[in-house]
Amino acid sequence: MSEREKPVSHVRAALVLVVLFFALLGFGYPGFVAVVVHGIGLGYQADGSLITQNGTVIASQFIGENFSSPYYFWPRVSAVGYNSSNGSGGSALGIMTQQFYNQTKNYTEYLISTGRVSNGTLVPANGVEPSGSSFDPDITVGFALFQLSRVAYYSHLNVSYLKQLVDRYTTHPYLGFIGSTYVNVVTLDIALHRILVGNGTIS
Amino acid sequence: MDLVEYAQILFLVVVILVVSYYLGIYMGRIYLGKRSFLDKYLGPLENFLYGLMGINPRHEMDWREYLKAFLITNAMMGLLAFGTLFFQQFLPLNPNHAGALGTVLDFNTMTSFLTNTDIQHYTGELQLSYFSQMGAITFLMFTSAASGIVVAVAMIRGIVNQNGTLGNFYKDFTITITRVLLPISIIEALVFVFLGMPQTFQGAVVAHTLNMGSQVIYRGPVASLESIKFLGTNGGGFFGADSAYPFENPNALAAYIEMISEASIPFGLIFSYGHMIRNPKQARMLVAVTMSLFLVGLAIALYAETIANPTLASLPINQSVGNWAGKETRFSIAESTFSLILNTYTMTGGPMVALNQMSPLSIASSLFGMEVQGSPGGVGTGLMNLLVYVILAVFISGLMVGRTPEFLGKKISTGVMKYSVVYILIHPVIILAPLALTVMSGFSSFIPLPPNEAFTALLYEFTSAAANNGSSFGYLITAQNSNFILLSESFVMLIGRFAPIVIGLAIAGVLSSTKPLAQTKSAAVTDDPIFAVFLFAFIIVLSALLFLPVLALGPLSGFLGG
Repeated sequence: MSEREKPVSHVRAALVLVVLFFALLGFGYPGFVAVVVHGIGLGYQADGSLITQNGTVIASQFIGENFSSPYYFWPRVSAVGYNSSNGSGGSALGIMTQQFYNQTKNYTEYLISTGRVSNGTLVPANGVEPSGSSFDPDITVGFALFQLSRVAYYSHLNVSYLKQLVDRYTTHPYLGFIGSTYVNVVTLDIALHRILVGNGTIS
Repeated sequence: MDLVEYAQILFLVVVILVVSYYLGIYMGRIYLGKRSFLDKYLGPLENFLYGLMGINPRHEMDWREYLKAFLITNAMMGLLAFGTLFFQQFLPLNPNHAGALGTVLDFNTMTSFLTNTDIQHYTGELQLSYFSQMGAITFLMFTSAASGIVVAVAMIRGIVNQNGTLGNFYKDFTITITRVLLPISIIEALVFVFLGMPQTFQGAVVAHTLNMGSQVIYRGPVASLESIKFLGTNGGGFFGADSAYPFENPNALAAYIEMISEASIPFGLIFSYGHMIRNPKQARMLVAVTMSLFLVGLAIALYAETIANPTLASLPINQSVGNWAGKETRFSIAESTFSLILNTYTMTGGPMVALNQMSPLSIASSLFGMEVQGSPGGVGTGLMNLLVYVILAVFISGLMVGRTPEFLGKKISTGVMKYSVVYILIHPVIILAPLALTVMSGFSSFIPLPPNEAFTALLYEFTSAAANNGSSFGYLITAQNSNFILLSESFVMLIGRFAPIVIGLAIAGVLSSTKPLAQTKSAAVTDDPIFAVFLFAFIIVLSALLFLPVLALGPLSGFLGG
């Protein structure tokens, strides 16, 4: 360190530093990434992985929707009812509270009463406990299989055919162990919908 | 837990250690000023920036000047971000027409991201413009992370140097961004988009759904925010649901990249430290201690999340895999739980679960991580905490066995001890005082949650704010308590961030002008297994003494009382 060094103006240095990085990190970097991903053919993902039908957007493959008609596979419990205008995030209720017990009990009974399942069938926890985001597009294979008899009854499709369909929309863990095994209900139900329209079951 | 889940945990831990090691050594070399092939490309850019700033990068600062530069820079970052939020309704890039947040929430949000906390009391997809998500949030995610990292580097230099200097703040800050944070973030963001994250400036799109009429699909420049969110242990998401939201975490591969990157700088800086003090054994000892603390916390939470919820035991529910509540199906329960503990032990605070629905035992474990703040803690600040723990442990073990309290050859002076004790005491005070104040003033009664959960949520909120973590319970803020909680929390975040940094730099200042003693046989050894065990126990006992009573009132009674 030399004795004759000029004193640093910290205000100037800090101001320039902050303004430059505001422009570079706040705008240059996100803009650069957006341009690159659209340039290298990742526009589908970059725009939200939207699924269209006859030119109309009907879903994003990643965002859960409330398929509630009995001939669809139903998604998980959502704290906001899959209405994105209500924001996102999980349920408020602690899992050891009376309120949570009551809510879960009611929905479990509803799933059993509507499920056309044999006596003593257990409902998979995945089907009655709320998701973390309220927009979980997926369910476990167990919950999908639980719903088979109801969906089969209302869709007039046979169970083994529906099982194959579920299988087709099942994702397995990467390399055999990274992630869970799950069924995307959004893409599954859209496929099911097209089959039902084709069969004339629904219009 | 099944075998696959054990494999997931083992894989994550091993990859985190390997990546941290290499990143840490790389960062150590950068801060030592070693030559690298990047000099050719980045050198001219950095020199250009130094020219604009009007600084000489070779100028070495003492701790006061380093602190001054740090504080002025942080003040300007805060002002600029506050202005961005405050005027967002008049600024461009607002396709969804987000309105004003309100001044109190603007202030809370700015302090939250300036302090690397990232507690969010807004719903990003509804309430922030893209201009704010980038100009306020993404910008502060980089600069607050860089701020944390450079003070840790300055502290390391304080331990090594003998001439009273700690390096040049502006140079350290600049190269942290140009050589670490920005390049890694760009690569990660591209991979994230490939895996399914949006990166667009178009507004929300209305989907005409097959069953429910219509659904608004919110999107935006998500991937560029997410990569620095994890790399810089920030944790505040683009969407309200944060990392649980499918667009922030579309599949397990994205989740693994996120988790590995949020752990790699906190653990990596410990390796940088070993590299810079030329004592890798010291670093291995600290990594062993921090990783052990983390694994203990993880084991508790994994146990709690993979058992059947006893409250639901009488219902006809198949709970064989554990607690699905608050978790996303595309991740295993073990992975989601790992994310919760990693996010609270690294001070990232963006777990891919909904906190309200975690088992009270997992919440207790998360609180413990935020109370320790050094296992491994946030970027930079975690290492700083850890070094203060080491100094205290050296002193106490010295008293116990009658050895000179010295650390890496430098005598620990009265001044350093005083600073260290104050440093440690700030944390409990800024958690417990506002907690007591909120309960006694009656503002806690407005929290619309069951009583025990409300207390836990409030304790969690202030702990998260003080530790600059950022995870928090939902449904805490109501119209009656919002100003009180938002403002008190803002001050907790500011004190929790800046007071330890000021004291840490002061300790670095004292150490940097301390001459090392001649190696004596009586000096305490700080890199052997005995010291590691002592440090491990010391950190647990210290935190238990400070926090066990409130843990018993909150999550522990929630677990036992069911």
